[in-house]
Parts: sequence; C-alpha cells; structure tokens
Amino acid sequence: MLGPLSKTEERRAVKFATMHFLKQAGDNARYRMIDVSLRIEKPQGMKQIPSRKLQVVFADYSGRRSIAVLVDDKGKVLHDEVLSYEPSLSEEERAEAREIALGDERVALIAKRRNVFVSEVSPLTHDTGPKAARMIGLRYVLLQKKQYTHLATAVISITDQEVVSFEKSEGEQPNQH
Amino acid sequence: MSSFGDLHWVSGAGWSLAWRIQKQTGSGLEIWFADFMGKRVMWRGSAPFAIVPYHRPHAGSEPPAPENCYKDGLDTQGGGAEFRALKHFASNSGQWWTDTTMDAGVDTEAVVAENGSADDFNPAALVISAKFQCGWYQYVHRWEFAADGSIHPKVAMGGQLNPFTPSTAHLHNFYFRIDLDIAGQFPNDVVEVFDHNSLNDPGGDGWKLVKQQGKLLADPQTARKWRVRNTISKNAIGEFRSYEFEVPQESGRDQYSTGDVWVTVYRGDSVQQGEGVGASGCSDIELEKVYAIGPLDTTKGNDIVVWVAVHSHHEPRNNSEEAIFLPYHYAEFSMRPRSFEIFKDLGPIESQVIELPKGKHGHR
Repeated sequence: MLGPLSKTEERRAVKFATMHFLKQAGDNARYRMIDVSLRIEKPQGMKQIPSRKLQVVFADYSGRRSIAVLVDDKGKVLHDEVLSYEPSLSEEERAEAREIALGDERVALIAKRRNVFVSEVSPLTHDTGPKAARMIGLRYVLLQKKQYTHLATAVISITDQEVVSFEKSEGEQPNQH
Repeated sequence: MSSFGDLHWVSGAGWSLAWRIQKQTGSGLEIWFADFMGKRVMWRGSAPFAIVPYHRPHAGSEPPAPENCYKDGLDTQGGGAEFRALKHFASNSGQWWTDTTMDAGVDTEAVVAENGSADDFNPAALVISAKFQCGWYQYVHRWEFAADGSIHPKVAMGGQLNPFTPSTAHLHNFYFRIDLDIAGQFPNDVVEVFDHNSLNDPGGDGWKLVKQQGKLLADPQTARKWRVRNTISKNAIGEFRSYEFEVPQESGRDQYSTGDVWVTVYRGDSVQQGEGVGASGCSDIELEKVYAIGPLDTTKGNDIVVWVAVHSHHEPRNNSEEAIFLPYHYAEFSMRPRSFEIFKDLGPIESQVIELPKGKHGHR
C-alpha cells in the first residue's frame, strides 16, 4: 500500500483526476496540474493499514483556488477537496513567473545585467492583497567580486499573469564576503 | 518510482522506519512509521518550517520591514524561502544559494541513513540526515534513533550569514510536528506536564494532566518536561508506556515564537502541517489560535500531535569564524521512553547487526 509511485499509476491518476477536475471547472478553465503524489492518511482502526491513495493537485487559475483530487490505485476518483492553503509552486510555475517578470521592462533592465541572479522568496502580505492568487517573490541580486547587492524585488501573480509589485532597493550597502 | 515523495525503508539499532522528502523544494525531511523493538512509537515526525526574526532596525534590506522576520520552509512568509534539497555531499557554503548544481535530482541523493555502532559512551543509533538550502542559509535535518529507544530530532544551521546585514543578530526557531502512536494504540494518548517543585520526598515532583489543547511553556527552574502517555498499553509491571519530551532551549520566547510546546490532536496528514502559521505578522500564533483548539479526553485519550519549537539565538561572528561560511550549529530536543522495557543487558541491543536495504538509497 505504501510502495513507490509507478509511472503507470501516476499517468492513470492524472488522466482520471483531470477529467474529474474539468467536469467541475469547465473546459475553458485556465489551470495547471501542479503535483501528483502518494497521500498517506492514518486509518480509522488500529489494526487497519492505510489504503493507497494518490493526490493530484490542480491550480485552478480561473477559479482562484487549488483543488486536490483523490484517486485510488485503480484510477477511481474518491473525492476532491478545495485546499485551504496555497500549495508549493511547481517548477513550471516558477519558470513561468520568471518569464512574466522579464516581460516587465523595469525588471528586464535589472535581470539582464551581468552577474545578476534571482532568488525565490515569499511575497510580503502587503504585496499580495486580498485576492487569492498563486504568487511568488523574485529577488534580484548582483554578485560581483564576492559582494552581494540587492537590486530589486518583484512580486509575480501567476494566476493573473502579471507583475503585482516592483520595488528597487535604493542605497543598499554591499558587504564583503 | 518518483524523484521525490516515495517512502524509503531503513532499519537499525532496534528501529525500523521510513523517510520521505515530499518535494525537492518544500518542507524538508519527514520520518514515518518509526517502530522500536517491533512496537510502533511514532506515526510521523517532521520539521516543516522555521521562524527567523532579526534584530531591528538593521542595515540591510533583508529581511524586509515591517516584520524583519522570515518564515522558511512550508508556506513561506515575510520574504522567507522554501527548503531546497541538496545532494548530501554539497559543501557547507552559501554558494548553493546562487548555484543549483548541487540540487538533489532525486530524494536518494539527498538523504544519508547511517547505522552508528555503539561505543564506550553511546548506544548504537540509526541516523537519518539531509541538507537543504534556504536562501543563503543551509539547514540540516537530522533524526537520531538510539538503541535505548530515545529519539533526537535536530536541525543544524549552516551556509553563510545574511550578506545584506551580516552582523545583525537573529533567532532561529525550528518547529517540529510529532505524531506519536505509542504501541500503535490510538486514539489513546494523554499529555502530562512534569515540574520539580521542591526537594520534598515524596511530593517534590509531580505530573499534571493537560485537559485542553493549547500552548505550553518551558521552565528550566522546575526541570519542566512533558510526556505523551498511553492510556491502554502497559509494561509487564502495569505501568503505562510513555515518551517524555525534553526541550533544552538555547533562547527564550518572543512575539514571533511565542511558545515551546503545543498540544493538538490528529486531524489528518494533509492538514495542520504548518500551513497558515505565520500569516499574522510572521508569528506562530496560529498554532495556538487555529491548531490547538478544543478539549482533550483525559480518560480514554486522544490521538495526540505535539508541536515543539526549538529556539536558538545567533550572535554572528561575522568578522572571524563565520565570515566565509557558518560551521554547522545544531539545535535539538529529545524524546525518551518510560515504562517500555527493562534493559536487562545492553549487549543484545547494542550488538545487533541490522542491515540497511541494498541499493538506491544513497546510504552508507
């Protein structure tokens, strides 16, 4: 019941979970499957062993929510649940966020400089606002002669496909390391 | 087999258990199904997040105002970063903040499971370790399961100092979620608090039952500790089996890290894992106000989940030993069994030769 997730099992789970998700969200929904993993929950009785369940998580950008669809090892959909928190961003979402950022001239001017790297951070509350969205903060740092200089931070909404905030870091004092 | 998220089974020193890293970038190392001498002790243990407030005002732009505090790991807040699994042989350096060549491609590249032999001073131990980059910092998650039945969860701080304000002191508060299922008997645990009040004998020491879920505070003056005690499972002489939590703090509490232990009940393995904590001003208040809510059944018991915060204050040695990198500094607590077994002779336990499964695990 707790063995490794096989590729076949994963494909089957994603296929049936996606069909289930689209029935709810509609064929025009903008979404992304962001995770598939083994879901372990404690059984009700002491002598029972956990049943094998797979969790397929969708970022429903149109609906501004994230949904987990639970599937058994045969691909049968057991139930779904709207998540009360934003699950971790997928690699695709992280890459997309960087692309969205580069589409903003203010960011591009900084990001395209030599020796600048990007560090992913959580956005601050005052940047995210009340609308539930898949967000990420991108911190642009210049690394030159072992000195780090914080140049700017951009907050990207993957849900809304836009740069929500951009803040240049003025007067940063670089430190020698 | 997935790159991350599968369970990997290991055994040694009388223990058998599984480890898991759910995602390469996320909440770190988890331990599942830890059995000692064939009896279930822990359903799951994790260290999913850290809260790191800085002294303020500081010279740099990080961590940003108004809170000047990060929540790292799961559901990051305040400009914090997730835990990124590194290959276990990645050097202790800030380099892996900007360089991803040491990112673990699969979970077995990240984790080392070692069977440490008994020596003249320590029992044998099964030790599971992995390191994670978190911004410029590096955290080591390490769980030691000793042949005397004790469990020692640890986190090390390494990497490099905050490059934007290297001299600024700060605190690392590590949060551990511990779901014990003593002897596999759930939901039949109660929680008790120990205090050493005087040298009177009898009566100087005492255990008190915890009747409500909630936040509990450490008190070194009374040698305070806590235990999760089963209400059904007894040893041969009729004592209820329990595990005691000893939390020797390196620092105190503040407005961000407000407690030492929280008593909650199991509500699933996909909820109350640390998500939502830190949403209000980067503090842990949600553990008390959202997670640890409701009465406890002090007769039959509950399926208890305990959160432990380990506090560590860091005054940087930025002009000397910590100028280039941070030598690993461990913060930890312990869980020790009471009324499980009488160790008639340490020999049979200490000398056990228990093989790790072969292949694929990056184990030594």
